[in-house]
Amino acid sequence: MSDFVDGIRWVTDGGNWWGPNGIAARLVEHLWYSLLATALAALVGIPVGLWVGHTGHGRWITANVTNVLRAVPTVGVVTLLFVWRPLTLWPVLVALTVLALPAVVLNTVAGVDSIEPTTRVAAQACGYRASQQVLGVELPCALPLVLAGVRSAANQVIATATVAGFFGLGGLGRFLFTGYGTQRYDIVWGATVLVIALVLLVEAVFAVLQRTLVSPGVRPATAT
Amino acid sequence: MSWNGRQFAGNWEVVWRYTLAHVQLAVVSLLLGVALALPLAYLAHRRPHTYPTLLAATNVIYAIPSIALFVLLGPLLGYTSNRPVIVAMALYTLVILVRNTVEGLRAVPPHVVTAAIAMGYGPLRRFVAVELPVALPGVIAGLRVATVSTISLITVGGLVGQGGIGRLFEDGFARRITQELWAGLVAVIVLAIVADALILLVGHRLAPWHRAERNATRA
Repeated sequence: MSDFVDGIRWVTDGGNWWGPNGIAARLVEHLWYSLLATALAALVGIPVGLWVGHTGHGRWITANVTNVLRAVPTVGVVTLLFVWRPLTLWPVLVALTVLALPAVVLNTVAGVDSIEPTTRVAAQACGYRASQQVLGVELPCALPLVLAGVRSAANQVIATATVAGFFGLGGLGRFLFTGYGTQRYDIVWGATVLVIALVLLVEAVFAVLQRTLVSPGVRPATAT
Repeated sequence: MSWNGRQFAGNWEVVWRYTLAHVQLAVVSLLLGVALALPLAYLAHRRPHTYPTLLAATNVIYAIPSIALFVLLGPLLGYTSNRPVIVAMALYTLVILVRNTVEGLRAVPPHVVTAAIAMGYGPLRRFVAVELPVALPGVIAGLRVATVSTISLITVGGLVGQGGIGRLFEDGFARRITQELWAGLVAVIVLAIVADALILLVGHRLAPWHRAERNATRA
């Protein structure tokens, strides 16, 4: 328990925050990697999910591909890409995007599936073209679940981005690995508290997004 | 026992041994995870006001990076043993298992529960003999996700000298042996797919009505 108290002391000590190896620099790195990977996963995953949900095609293959993606070990991908392209951001970015994709795609599909069939038929009956149906009706109605998927992906990414520290790419994982290696467990605790704080912060951001982006008419459907 | 040379040939034995160690870690972690999740789900189902807190707690645990969790569990369970890895993995599964089990239990039709009460089933017996079996498809679905991600996640243990196939990543990275890294990657994915298929199969055996219902709605 004293390690935990020391960890809090380490986080709250202003002297640890600044400089090229300070908490602030690592925190920014960590957020930056996480943001890039989550944005990339959303950019790829949401359109794929919308397409699958809209057309109903490729359901079986989506279920299986996302399952395989879930099985892909982050450490394996990073090590393999790191040997190929050392000391660039790519290994970590690709591995984290792979990690984030299943939650985004599956939630988007589930979101489109959860729309009342009459709503979608009504859009067709009003003469909406396919693109209008997807962007004007299906995406807004599916948005609560889409956001839930991106949120859950972001959480996993933030916790896992610590792996970057093992490969000398910074982020908060840097503190975890140096703390582990030098038995400075107060630093491990401190860095852990920071990662959890980041996750909670992102949860709060998504709660706000959920409130501002989702149309009031759709809101009652927000179950999770 | 370690990887010989820079090629794959001659290293089947190595991959196989680490895969077995990996399976062992995964099975123990998942059993422990289920053993923790069921009582928690029972509690959350019987006392619904505990559910939000429970969910939040599992979410926070899930947010703890694995390396940190190994270190945090070290003083309790021994830094050099594989117990921190097992307990960490079991704790991670809770975020999926508790949620799926509680949602499954909530979806049990009220008349089934009433019938069980009318037949004189006590709360615990009702849970084990009626509610849990009816909720099984949801529990199995959760277990499948938990299994696949656990098998993949255990490899992080390799970075602290534990964790079956993860050792191939650690060693292959240290010695820059691409073939070893590929072997590890393929082994983890194949293992996860096989485990997933096995659970799916067992699930169909244990809850055959679920498949019958699904086929009926599809037809």
